[in-house]
Amino acid sequence: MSQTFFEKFFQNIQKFTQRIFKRKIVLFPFSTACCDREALSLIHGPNSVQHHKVKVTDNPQDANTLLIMGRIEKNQLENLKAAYNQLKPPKQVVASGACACSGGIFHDQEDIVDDLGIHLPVTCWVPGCPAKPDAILFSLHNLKKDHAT
Amino acid sequence: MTTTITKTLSDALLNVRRDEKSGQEVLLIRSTKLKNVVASLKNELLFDRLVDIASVDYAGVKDLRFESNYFFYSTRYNKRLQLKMQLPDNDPPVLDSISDLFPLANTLEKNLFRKGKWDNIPFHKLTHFIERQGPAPLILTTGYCQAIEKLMTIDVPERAQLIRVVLCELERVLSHALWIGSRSAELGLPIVLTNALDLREHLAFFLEKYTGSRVGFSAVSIGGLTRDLPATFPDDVLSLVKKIRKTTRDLRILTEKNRLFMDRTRGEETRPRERAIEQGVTGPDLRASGLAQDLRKMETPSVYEILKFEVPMGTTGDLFDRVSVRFEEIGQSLSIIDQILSKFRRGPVMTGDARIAQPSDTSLTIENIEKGICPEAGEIYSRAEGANGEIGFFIVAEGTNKPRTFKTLTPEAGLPKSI
Repeated sequence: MSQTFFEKFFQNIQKFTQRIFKRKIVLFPFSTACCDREALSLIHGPNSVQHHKVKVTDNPQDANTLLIMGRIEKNQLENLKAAYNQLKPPKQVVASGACACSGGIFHDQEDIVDDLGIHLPVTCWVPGCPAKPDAILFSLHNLKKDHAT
Repeated sequence: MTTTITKTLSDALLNVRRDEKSGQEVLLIRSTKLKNVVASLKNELLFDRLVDIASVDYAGVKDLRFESNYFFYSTRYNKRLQLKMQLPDNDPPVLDSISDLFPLANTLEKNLFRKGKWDNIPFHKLTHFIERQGPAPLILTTGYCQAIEKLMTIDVPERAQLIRVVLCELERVLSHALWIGSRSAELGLPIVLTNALDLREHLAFFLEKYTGSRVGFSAVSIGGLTRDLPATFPDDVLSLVKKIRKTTRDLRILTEKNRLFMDRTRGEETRPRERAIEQGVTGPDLRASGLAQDLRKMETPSVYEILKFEVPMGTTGDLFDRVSVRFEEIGQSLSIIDQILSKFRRGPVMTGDARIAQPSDTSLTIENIEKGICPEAGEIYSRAEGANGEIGFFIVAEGTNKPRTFKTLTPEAGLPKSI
């Protein structure tokens, strides 16, 4: 299979960006429920992720990692996918908390997305109700390792 | 009280009785006369606050299938009242709306049916997560457990009650600090939020050690506590209180003595006393508007009777008052904890009542555990002082292990209307 010039060119660019993002995660938190109480600690608290070479941004176009917290309703999926499409490659998705992973106490209800993995390629699932900040931090460290390899 | 009510509402009234458990008058009235009754309650008998509305469905139990309950409160006389109406099934039951008399009724005239087992406490803990104002799962579960204890007339050991108070007051501190932090961040002072989160980190670390979770604290069960606290508890609390005092001092300097903060909050969002009562605002926000109303002082009997504390009050009801009332309450809560630490005695933390305590090993069967707690038939309306306002529980029991109806009033019920 012969590759065209442009395909090779874009692959090289992708490799280059991957090398740049090797040690850098830019986080875009998408929080819908009570998990954001722990997210506040994660982002602004005394043991913030910002001390661990993780940047946090409000703009999905600057980010490369989507952190999903809280229950996702079916009418929110569109916005979530829009946020995912705007991410920079390599795209990573972290689903944190019982609600984002499986619906939690809202499991099997009409408007709630139980299985997020069908709609988005989730890289990492963090359990807990709500997930502890150190658990999320651990998962982000693992993401960094994935970037490096 | 009863005689004036019967005199004023004679044509609509069917029955009057006093419910000692709930501490309020219960009036059974004709459903067609609801609007007249509510108008005379408001204008002549001065019941100026609508607390809650709850309905019960007695399908297959009673001939008159539906029962509707309206709860009123008089801030002038500190009296409570419950209106009860019975409605048949043959027509779709329709009641007149009272939203022109009480604006809050517009929000409350929605019914909530929830069914779960009696000791399904984690669910009630999670109700408060949905409220964004400030988390207080321990206070909510304590309120629920107290309602069931009142319904079954159970005596809770004093040690358990005192520990409950310590945990609830710590949670009140946490809730107030987060409220102040998030409001300040919205005003453009994120440094206050960072300091408040510092305080939250201390409290979360402490409460995780004793209740097992950083957000959904669970230590309270019907009849007492799930487990006793370890011997190091008083020392840990003392060091924690010291840390909280220090952080609170920093927070006060950053907000109350900050020129920028004062300019942005003084005279903003002023809520006069009459408007606050009409809209069903309770708790610290109502106290900031100038009405010293605290259910910890007003509800009797309670553990708070042996403790000394003041009810702080604001004057104008603006944003600055609401913040400073919360700061004062943090100080009062810490002084309550200080008093309790000298009052701890050894003893059980769970009641020995046979209806609640687990039976001895000979009669302990799977059926017994699955059946759980079965309160006697009856109904109760119980209230408690939450972190951000009054919380209320209306429960109807049938003698089985599931309630017929269960409704929670959360502190934020009146807020959407007031905004």
